[in-house]
Order: sequence, then structure tokens, then C-alpha cells
Amino acid sequence: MYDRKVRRRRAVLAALVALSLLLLTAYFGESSGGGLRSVQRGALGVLGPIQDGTSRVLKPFRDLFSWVGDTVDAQQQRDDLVDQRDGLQKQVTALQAAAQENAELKKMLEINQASLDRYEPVKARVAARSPNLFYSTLTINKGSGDDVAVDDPVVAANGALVGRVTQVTGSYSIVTLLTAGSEEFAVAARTLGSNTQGAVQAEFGTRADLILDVVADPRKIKEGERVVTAGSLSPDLSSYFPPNITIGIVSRVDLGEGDLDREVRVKPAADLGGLIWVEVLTRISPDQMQAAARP
Amino acid sequence: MQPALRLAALAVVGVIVQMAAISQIFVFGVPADLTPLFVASVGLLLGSVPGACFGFGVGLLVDMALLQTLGVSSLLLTAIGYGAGRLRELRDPAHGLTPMAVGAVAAIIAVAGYAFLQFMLGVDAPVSLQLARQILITIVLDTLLALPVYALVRRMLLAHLPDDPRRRRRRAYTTGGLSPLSRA
Repeated sequence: MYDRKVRRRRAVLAALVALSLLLLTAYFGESSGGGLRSVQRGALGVLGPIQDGTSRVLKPFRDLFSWVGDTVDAQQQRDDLVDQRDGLQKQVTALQAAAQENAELKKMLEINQASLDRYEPVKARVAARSPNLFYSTLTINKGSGDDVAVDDPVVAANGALVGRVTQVTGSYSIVTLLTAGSEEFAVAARTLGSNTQGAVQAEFGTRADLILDVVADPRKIKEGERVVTAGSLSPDLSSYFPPNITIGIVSRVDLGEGDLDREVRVKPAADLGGLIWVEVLTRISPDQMQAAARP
Repeated sequence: MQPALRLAALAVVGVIVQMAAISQIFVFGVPADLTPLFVASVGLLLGSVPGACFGFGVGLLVDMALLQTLGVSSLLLTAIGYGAGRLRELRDPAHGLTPMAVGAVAAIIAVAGYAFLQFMLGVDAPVSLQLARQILITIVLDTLLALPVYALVRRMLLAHLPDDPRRRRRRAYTTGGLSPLSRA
């Protein structure tokens, strides 16, 4: 009797572990349109509305707990903002003195506006997010039915970059945050001020900091400089993101002793922990653009 | 309600509340992850086989709902549920703080397990001090939440519990079988 019980227990464990490993192997082996992924998308279609409803119902409780956390962080934030204000005042003075640079920046702004014309913002609510440190994703309540497509950029209410759409179902989409590991996310970027080009990527598993990998000498980069997407307007060398979307502010420049020790840290401009609404920049097709341009 | 149905309801409600609410509350920059705590509590209350099955189900649900790599969460949560259940079967813990200790171990297994599996699956992962700090905060948060989660799960499953160690011990004293007074 005891032996049978032990055998049954071990058999159940072995079966569950084997099933998990089988799922893992099959999932890795299949393409993005494979059977398991289709089942997942179907499950999201069912669970999505429930998550969305629960998220709305529990918002007051979430706000209450977040308020406690925000109060604890408020003092630190105030000190940071004072430092930031002082830095920005210096920056404004420098910008006013450099008339030529200002003109160039204005020209760039025109380019920016022109490139953003190619996108139609779609407002979406955050329905769920992964609790795991190793998955920087969130679920939003807009999908292919709302013209959202894979690789569409996602920005916060303040216009700062949040991430990009990586999976889409009819009514829901998965957004990979810019704090996901470098395997999943890297953005071509440049700094405003020193105009240094580089790539912004996250340190694996951290939600607060990004790293700007620069090719050029990082010594001219100053703390407090704004980092924006470099983008690309060329159809041959397309980028996921249009140029001049704010990514964050340079928070620390470590020069170290050698090239490998150099590290430029960037604090994301979007509050990735407190996102409730986001905007997906859906791409407008050339036909739609022509139709919109017609009187 | 049948125990299996009750467990299924607990899994669905737990996972949805976790993803729709708890995951969006950040304490010191980190959200709490209650899924290992739910699974460990079920294992601790019902034993290794229900614990492992519940863990597998919860893991599958999490990976399905968030479009994550299928099988990763199932594997880890199965191990957590089974381990907690075996602890109950072998040691019969009756101390009031046992769920807290089990919750802490479950959180450590979950975080370390995810990290290990991510490395094994080839995710580029430089280890940083900040990541270590966030892992530590997650473990502390989960440890603090382990007792309330255990109490909640116990309340939901009360009618179907095989025999609670504390109740069993109290009963033994009142019936005189194991009372130190009866030996005198």
C-alpha cells in the first residue's frame, strides 16, 4: 500500500516535469505561427477581457498601495527633481548662447514632426503585466483589430518611449518594455547636447536603468543630457522607432580606466512601473497618407 | 464545491489578480510575485501530489496569459508545490511561522530558477548589483506576504484539508494520548 502511494507520487512528479520540458522544447522549436503560440493567443483572447476588467475593478486598491510607495519615494524624487531643475537651467543658458545649435535642433524638430506624421497614435490601457523580473512585458487592450501591428513603437502619456509591440492578437497585444534584456531590445539613440550616437539597451532584469553604448568618446557626454531615439527615415535602413522620441536622461557617466569600463547610464523618462495608459504609434500606409493629404 | 474545482478557481483568480493588480504595484521598484506563495501554500496544506499538480496548472496559466515561454513557470512551480508538500508529509510542521519560511524558500527557488532557466535558454544576462538588489527585495516582499497568503488559501480550502498538523496536535492533547500529564 505504502509502495503504491510512493510510486504514484513519483510518477505524477515525473509526468509533470516531463510535460513541462516537452512544452519548453516544443515551444522553442516551433515558428511564431506554430500551434502552441496559436493556443497561447487564444488563451489571451479569453483571459484578456477578464484581466482588463479585474484591472479596472482593482484600480482603487492599486492606487492606495501605490500611494504608500509613492509617499516613501517622494523625498528622494524631490531631491532628484531639484538637481534636475538646476541641470536644466544650465542647459537652457547653454542653448540660448548657442544660436547655431538651436537652429540645427529646430531643423531636427521639423524632421521629427514630419516622421511622426507617418504614425497614428492609438490609446491603450495596460491590462496586465508580468510579475517576473526576467520578463519585461505588459499586456494592452488593443490588438490587430485596432490596427496595432508587431514592431509598432509604444510611448507613455508624456511622449517618452516605453517599448514596442512584440505579439498581437485580435483585441490584445504584448508590449516588450525597453528595460527588457539586450537580446530583446536595443534602440539606436543619440544625446541632445553632445550629439553622441549610440545604442540604448537594458541591463538584464533591471527596471530602473538603461545603458547607452557609445562608439565615440563618452567624455563629452554630461549628466542630465536628454537621450532620444536616433531613428531612420531611410526605407533601406528602417528603424522600429521614429527619430527624436525621448528615451531618458543621462544619470551617470562612468569613464573607468579603459574602454571596457566606460558606462553611460540612462534613467528612462517614462515611469515604467506606473503605466496605466500608453499610446501605440501605428503605422499609416502610404494610401492612407495620400487620402489624408487630399483636401 | 469539489476540492479540484476549488483549486482550479483559486488558480484562475490568483493568477488574474496577480497580473492585473499585484504586478502593477511596485514597492522599492519591484512588484511582489504571489504565484510561488499560492503554490507553496497549497502544497503545505494538501500534500505533494496536489501541490505539484496545482503548481503545474498555475505555471501553465501564467505562461499562457502572458505569452511567455511555455513550460518555464510550470516546471518551477511544480517543483515548489511538490517540495512544500513533501515537507508537510515528512516533517509535519506545526510552527506558526512555517508558511513564512516555506514562502521565503519558494520565492528563492522561483527567482533563482527563472534566472537559471533564462541563462540556459541563452538570454544574454550580465549579472549586476541592481539585479541582485531587486531579487533580494522580491524575496523579502514574498516572505512578508507568505503568512497572509497562506491564511487566505487555508481559509478557501478549509473544508477539504486532510488534517491540519496544529489541529491534530491540539486534539491529541485534549484526548490525552500525547499529553505530558498522562505520562505522570
